[in-house]
Amino acid sequence: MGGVTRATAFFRKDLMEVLRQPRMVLMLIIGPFLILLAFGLGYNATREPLQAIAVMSPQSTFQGRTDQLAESLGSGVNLSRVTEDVTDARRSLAQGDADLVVVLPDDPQAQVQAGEQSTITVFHSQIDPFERAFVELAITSAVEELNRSILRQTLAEVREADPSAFGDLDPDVMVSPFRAEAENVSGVDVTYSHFYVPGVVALLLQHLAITFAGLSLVRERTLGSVELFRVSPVSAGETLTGKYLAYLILAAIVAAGLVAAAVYGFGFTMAGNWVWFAAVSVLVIMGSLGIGLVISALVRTESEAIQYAMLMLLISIFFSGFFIPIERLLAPVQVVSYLLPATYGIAALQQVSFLGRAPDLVLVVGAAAYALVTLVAAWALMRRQGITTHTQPAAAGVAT
Amino acid sequence: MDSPLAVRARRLGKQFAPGVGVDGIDLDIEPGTIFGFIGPSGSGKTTTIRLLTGVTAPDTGEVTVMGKSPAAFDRSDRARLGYMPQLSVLYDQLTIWQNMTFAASLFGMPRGRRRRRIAEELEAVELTDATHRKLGDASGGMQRRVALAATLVHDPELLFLDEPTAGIDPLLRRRIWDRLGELRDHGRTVFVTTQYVGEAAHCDRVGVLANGRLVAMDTPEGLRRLAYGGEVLDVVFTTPVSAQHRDGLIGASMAVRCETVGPTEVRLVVNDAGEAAPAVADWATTAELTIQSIEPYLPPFDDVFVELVSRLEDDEELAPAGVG
Repeated sequence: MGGVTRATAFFRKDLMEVLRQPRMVLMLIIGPFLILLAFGLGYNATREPLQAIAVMSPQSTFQGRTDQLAESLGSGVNLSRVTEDVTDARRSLAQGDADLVVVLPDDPQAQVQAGEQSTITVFHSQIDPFERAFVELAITSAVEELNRSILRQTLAEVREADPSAFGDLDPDVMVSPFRAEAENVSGVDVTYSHFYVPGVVALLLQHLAITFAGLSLVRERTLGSVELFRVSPVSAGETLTGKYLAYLILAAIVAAGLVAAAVYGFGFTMAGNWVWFAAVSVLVIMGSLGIGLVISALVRTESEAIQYAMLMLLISIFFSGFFIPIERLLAPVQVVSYLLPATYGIAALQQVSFLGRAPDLVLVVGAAAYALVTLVAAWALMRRQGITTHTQPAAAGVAT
Repeated sequence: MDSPLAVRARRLGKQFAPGVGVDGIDLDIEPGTIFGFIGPSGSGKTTTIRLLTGVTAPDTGEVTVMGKSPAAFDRSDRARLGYMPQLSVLYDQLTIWQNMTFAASLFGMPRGRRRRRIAEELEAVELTDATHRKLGDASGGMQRRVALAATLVHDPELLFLDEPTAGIDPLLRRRIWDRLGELRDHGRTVFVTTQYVGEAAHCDRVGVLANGRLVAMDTPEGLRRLAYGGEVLDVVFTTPVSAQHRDGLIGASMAVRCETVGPTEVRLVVNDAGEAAPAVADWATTAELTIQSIEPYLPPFDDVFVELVSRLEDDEELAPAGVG
């Protein structure tokens, strides 16, 4: 009974301490939430077509066929103007007035008939490797489209000269014998902003729980309360239980608030079971509290604890699967991913939310094991560092 | 032994760095007494408390508290201790009542008893009307009283109070000492540190700590005697006193020494002021001097402390950690 009272002492005290600082809680939740919200709302997933300037000499066989050329380049490239001056076009490119400069050959037909490939030179000025890859893909796609267009036209001309040529084959089919049809069997049509909801929930819960727990023990240490705990009959287990439950409940309330905001504010819909969603959220919170308490037992100052909490948030943004799928990371780096509670949470919450099924067992077991291991580690550290009564590291009463 | 000592320490030592810590502390503290541990800042008072409560392990020596080594304390032993650290360790964001509830709950007190004891202790420190005030909004003196009440809420048998009167006004200091006196009268043992040397007068026994060494331990009166080598008598004559007169005074009163305070006043250090005073009066009659006043002088404890420490520095008899 005394043990329950002692654990309850920490539970009540920590709960009241946080609730009496509503601005701190709001800042902790609202700050990262607003950043992610602004990103979610502001992110434009549909790309604008690349603005291209076509350069062709007065003798070019493309002269007078710019409409056809524009259509042939496809929807990813928009032919904004045509010029004969490549220097002028490249100046526009340098000034950011265009994304591409497409230099067309004078007489491609003659080159092809002579058995040579005709070269279309494309200039761009992308620095970002992702953008560069996209531009080069768009160029390749546009040139292939142009090739098909020319081939289609040539076949049509041959058939016009000889109606029996190619039998009954349609020139379009001859040019593009295959076409792809993609079908999403998940049956889920997720918008970009909704797709990030489970990730945001997992990430914010992790950040909140790590910060709460990370500050809790170090605050007791800097205040000097630890000295009082050592003299009192309170144990590491009782201290840990009280603090753990207090922050678990606080974080669970925040989780409910976040989900309510997602559902009623942004129309987020749940394909699966809310009970699973809640269970996974609780596991994320527990794992995060565990790692937060470990941090708290190791650091010396509150600012150090906050730095670690921010570092965990930063690591999670890159390695938890929030932005970049974990499968895209090299295997050794994926180890880092599975040292983050959010990794299990994001994957499991996405499965529940979008696929409408229970999360993979490996994720649930992984998250639970993570929570257990970190909790035991925190408890062991508290005992080793003598944060409470029966745990002084070297409290030998008799020394000679 | 029927009633073990509340605290017993022999050659207790802890060094944090060369010259930093305590060394060779011997203590015998009887139950039901106030033991004052006096010394300047940095002399080792807090270290000694940490050694006695088991917060820190000693490098040398041995210690028993309530008959047990602090390392062997179980929950029930710890529940008999009360500890008030030097700095406030309570929570500014919580109300006074919530802080008291937390302190009481640490000792596993059930709700009913907890509420009753909190009310009693807050009443004892005159804070009944401020229970719902946030601790951070309370004055320094109130916070110190809350800390004392929180230390006492589980009714401990042995109290370790680390400078409970530091930084508070004289009125409140007096109230705290009155409260400690009440606790002693109810059989509680109080180990209290202070850097206000004058507060030694409130203690039953006093240990004087300087540079990590216990330079003296005695009753307050015993310390005065120890510092000056005896009791002190101030004698004022109606006419100036010559060197010859002073020699005569020393011989008549068996004084240890005689100091000139003014042209007509001398201060005698004697073994027994009660016996020396009539002898001085008789000598004055013989020497045809008229005594204006003759009365014992009680030197302030600040002077006593300075005297004791300077004796230590002069490597006099008291230097090897005198245990009285």
